[in-house]
Amino acid sequence: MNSPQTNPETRIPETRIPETRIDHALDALRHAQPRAGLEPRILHALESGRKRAPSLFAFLRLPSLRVPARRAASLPVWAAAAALTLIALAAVLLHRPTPTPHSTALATTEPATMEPGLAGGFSPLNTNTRTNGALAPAQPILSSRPKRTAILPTRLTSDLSSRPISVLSSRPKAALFAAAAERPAGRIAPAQHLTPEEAADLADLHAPSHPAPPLPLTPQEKALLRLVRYRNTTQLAELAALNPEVSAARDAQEAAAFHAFFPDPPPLHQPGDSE
Amino acid sequence: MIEELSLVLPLSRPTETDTSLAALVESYSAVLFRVAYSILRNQAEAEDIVQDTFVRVIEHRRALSELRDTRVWLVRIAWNLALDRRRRIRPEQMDDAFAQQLPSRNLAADIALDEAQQIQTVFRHIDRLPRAERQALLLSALDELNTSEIAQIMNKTESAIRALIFRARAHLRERLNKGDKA
Repeated sequence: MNSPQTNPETRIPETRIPETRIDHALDALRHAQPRAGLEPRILHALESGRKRAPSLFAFLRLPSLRVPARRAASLPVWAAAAALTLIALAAVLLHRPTPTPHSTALATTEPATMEPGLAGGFSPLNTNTRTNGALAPAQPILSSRPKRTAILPTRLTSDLSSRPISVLSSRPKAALFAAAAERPAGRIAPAQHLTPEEAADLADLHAPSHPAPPLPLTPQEKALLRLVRYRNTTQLAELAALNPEVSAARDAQEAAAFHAFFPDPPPLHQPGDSE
Repeated sequence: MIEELSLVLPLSRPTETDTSLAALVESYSAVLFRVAYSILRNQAEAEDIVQDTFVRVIEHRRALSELRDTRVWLVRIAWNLALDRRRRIRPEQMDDAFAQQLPSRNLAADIALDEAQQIQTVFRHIDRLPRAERQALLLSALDELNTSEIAQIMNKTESAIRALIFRARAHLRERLNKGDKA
């Protein structure tokens, strides 16, 4: 084991001499070695860095924004999150409620006929029939989304049961959507550019929402409806039973009949009463 | 391994010999590491600096063919990057274990500990030196660089560098002596 050498003149240990200490420290820096495999690691990092798309984040070349190479592995996650945020913002900003030409193009690709069973877009409760026999859609069609075009106003003819229903007989849907796209949303077009039939279709297209269906009937209302429809005495009695005065009178009548049929028993005689 | 990962730098002049980035990495990464390490005294940070230096090489590969001394150019890049990084890291982030690894392993534990503390004291005093003196002293510690190359890196004359190194050592001696007496 080595022991620290001493300076023979000053008797100071050699490691305590300032010059020696300085040289010691500088030697340490001189002989510092990197961890094993530095070169392959650097080459791998450089190669992967070159393979990575360089253009998207070229603005990060500002010196203050440079990402340290050791932490560069986290850049794709960060970049993907930023890109998704930007896309979402752009989608929100660019959204318009009116139909777009793109939706028009999509609408033309849909089939022009619809099976009768598919006419479920129309509510049987809907009584808004027009003179030409067309039914208004049960759902409002004001959205620009092409999926909603599946419930375009369908022209139902009198022989509804047998034939497939033709959608927009004279003009394709795309043309109608294009015409609708030229106007502000929610307003019905003036009829000067359209045939009456198309105007009617467009009126259906822009029809406001129908009111909500009524609440379910109360038992009294149901009984009244049955009475009105069938004029049945049983129903009348059932309805009358709902009247408290009538029901009280009927109860009294039934009690009187009961008492008439079953008279009150004579009072019981006790053994000592006779005397 | 390095040969498999060889990246040939596309230079602007096809007549010149293509410079292999792998060859550059193999030749200069050690000296660049020491340059960065002398400033940062942190292995991971110094390796980052080496990597950043070669990223700069890729970015400025067109200028590479016009360089007279590639080594000085690379050292200068690493030096500036390390100085920039040094402003952003705290002194506590420097490796504390570094100085303790330096003493010879065949010393007794108590002597090795004492020597490590002395080396740390020297580094503390080096950190308090004036900037130019400190930088000249640290660069002079590297065997790979002579005075004229240090002068190029620091944008000073050779005589100025020699004077800076001399003054740095004198200041260090003086401060270490003061510290010992205190």
